[in-house]
Amino acid sequence: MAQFNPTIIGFACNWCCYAGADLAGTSRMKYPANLRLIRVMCSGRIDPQFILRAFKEGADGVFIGGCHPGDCHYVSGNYKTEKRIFLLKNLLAGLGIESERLELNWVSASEGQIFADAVTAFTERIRKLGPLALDAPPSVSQDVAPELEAPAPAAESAGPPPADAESAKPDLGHLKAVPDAGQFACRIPQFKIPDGA
Amino acid sequence: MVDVSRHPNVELLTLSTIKKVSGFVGNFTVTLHQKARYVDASQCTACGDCAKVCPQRFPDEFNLGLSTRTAIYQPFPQAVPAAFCRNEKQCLGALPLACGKCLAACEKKCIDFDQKDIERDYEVGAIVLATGMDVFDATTLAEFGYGKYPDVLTSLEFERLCSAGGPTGGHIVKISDGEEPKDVVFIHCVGSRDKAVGNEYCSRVCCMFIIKQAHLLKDKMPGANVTSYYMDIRAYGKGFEEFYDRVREEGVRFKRGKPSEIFRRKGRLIVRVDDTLLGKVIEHETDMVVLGVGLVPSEGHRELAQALKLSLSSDRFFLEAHPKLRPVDTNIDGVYLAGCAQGPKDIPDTVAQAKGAASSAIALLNKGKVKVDPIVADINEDACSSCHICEALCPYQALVYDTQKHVMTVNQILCKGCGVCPSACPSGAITLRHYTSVQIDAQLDALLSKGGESREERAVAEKVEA
Ligand code: FES
Repeated sequence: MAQFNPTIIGFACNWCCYAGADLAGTSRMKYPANLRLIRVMCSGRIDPQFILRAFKEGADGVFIGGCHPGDCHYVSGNYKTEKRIFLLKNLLAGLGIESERLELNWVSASEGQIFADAVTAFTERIRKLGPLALDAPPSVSQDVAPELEAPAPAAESAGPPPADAESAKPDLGHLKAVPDAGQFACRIPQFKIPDGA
Repeated sequence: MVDVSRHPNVELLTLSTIKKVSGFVGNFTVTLHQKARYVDASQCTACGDCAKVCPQRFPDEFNLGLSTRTAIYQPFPQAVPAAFCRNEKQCLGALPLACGKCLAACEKKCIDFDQKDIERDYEVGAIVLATGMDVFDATTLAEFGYGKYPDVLTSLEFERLCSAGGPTGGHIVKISDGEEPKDVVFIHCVGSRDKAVGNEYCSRVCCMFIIKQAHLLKDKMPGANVTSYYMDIRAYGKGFEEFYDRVREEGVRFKRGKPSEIFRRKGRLIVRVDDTLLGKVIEHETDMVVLGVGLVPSEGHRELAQALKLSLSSDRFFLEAHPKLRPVDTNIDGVYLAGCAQGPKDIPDTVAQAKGAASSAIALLNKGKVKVDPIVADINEDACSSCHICEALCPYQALVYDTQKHVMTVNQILCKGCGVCPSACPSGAITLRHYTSVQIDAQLDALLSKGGESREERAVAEKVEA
């Protein structure tokens, strides 16, 4: 059987990740051709609706690249992205999409190799997950709901790993009532932005 | 400084702090708070008659407490404007019973105890921040015993001792007994390159000022034993390495190692240090230790950053717009940085940056107009539901609520086009020009459609096939 070739949509901010991708290209680094990159000025421009639309229109994975925390060209856009992606990942499960199909990465303009490596690893992961089957009836009530109760902390969220699973459980009870991640993402209190951000 | 104060186009405001800044490039309004000086600076000739009669004595800040001053005083001899000022907290007051001696002594009658602080608005087009730095507080490093042993000095105090106009008239003496030191130790990187105190950066000037002070010391006291303990010597400027070589030839000993402790034994100071080149711990007996203190951001810079909405870099100095290509600009148009406000630097670098900042400001103002990027946010007033969600998200305060029309508006000069607001607007009222949702959706569709079909169309086609 032929190898599954996933379709991956990437969103990259103009100043860091896109420049990093550019560097990967000009330095002739290799990464899978499954990625189709869309440039935005800042990762903060990435509306969760774009991601949902990408999944709906046939993407098997969505890769997001922004500047490292504190390096955003627009001061703090990437912190907002981080919050949105964190919430969206939790919502995806409810839509029958594995949250691993969405990845947020910080890549600076000088990190061509890191970009290539991240894309390669992500493509492999999606390849293992197989095609996104959106037509399958959603099974929120049985197997996804427990996941909503205690979601794994997003891999990208900064900070030391929590001491125990109980304390790490974000209170997401209210999430289920919110219809649109885009609406919700901006209402939660700001992450504490470190000095100089 | 004197030239600046005399320039017809320059208004120099001393004793002032910035309270508030509003507006944007070309149209800033700066609210300044000016403290009362209690002396009419335009009349005062700095004759010093008032200070002669003042009965109060306080540590002189300029000489770092090595000498005293009166309650009415001139901060230092070359201070601009050349006028005295009165510290109202230290002055006994004007009531005849209290004191009021200076009022009587002043021939020109320029002392006015009733002067009030003033707050004033200034309309300006550009702002240059040159707020300088402070020196690291050596008392935080208890192991060096600064503040405990009188003969442990900071480099700034030592500089005052060396100065012909300083408290000792340029004689280098021990503070403890007034004797000349026979052995002096300099320590580099005190409060710089030290993660433990939160200053990871190199202060850039300390190596050279310590080398210079060692040279001054050798010059004044050729017989003295001078040793300098360093981590690395960073003599990177023009002529610096040559000077370092010269001072080594003069007999100053440079040893590699960071002292771990200073203590007193039998009346002498002992510096314990791990000499990393010899690979052993030595105890150096000495008379005087000079701590080469690093530079830290100036006091009040955080408030200033808040007033101007500027960012700070991880070292807490003001953040430039780009470390290589725009080192003078900030992320706020029309606000420029000069000197140590942006990061530790020496005099030539400061002069270069200051000239760059001044030229940028002049170039901006002379043109009379600014070019703004076309990538800005736009608001559909009919769709805006005045939820204010976008307002807090904007890092540039470009979104302002129009209280008349009850809609948000975008200040297109302040907007930098990041697109954080359009992706948060629940009503879809904000569009980012050139990155509209329609455009991005179209890109998505184009990238995802295989042979021009969307997922639904493909599904239909597959069903038909089957
Ligand atoms: S500009 Fe790169 S994340 Fe904001």
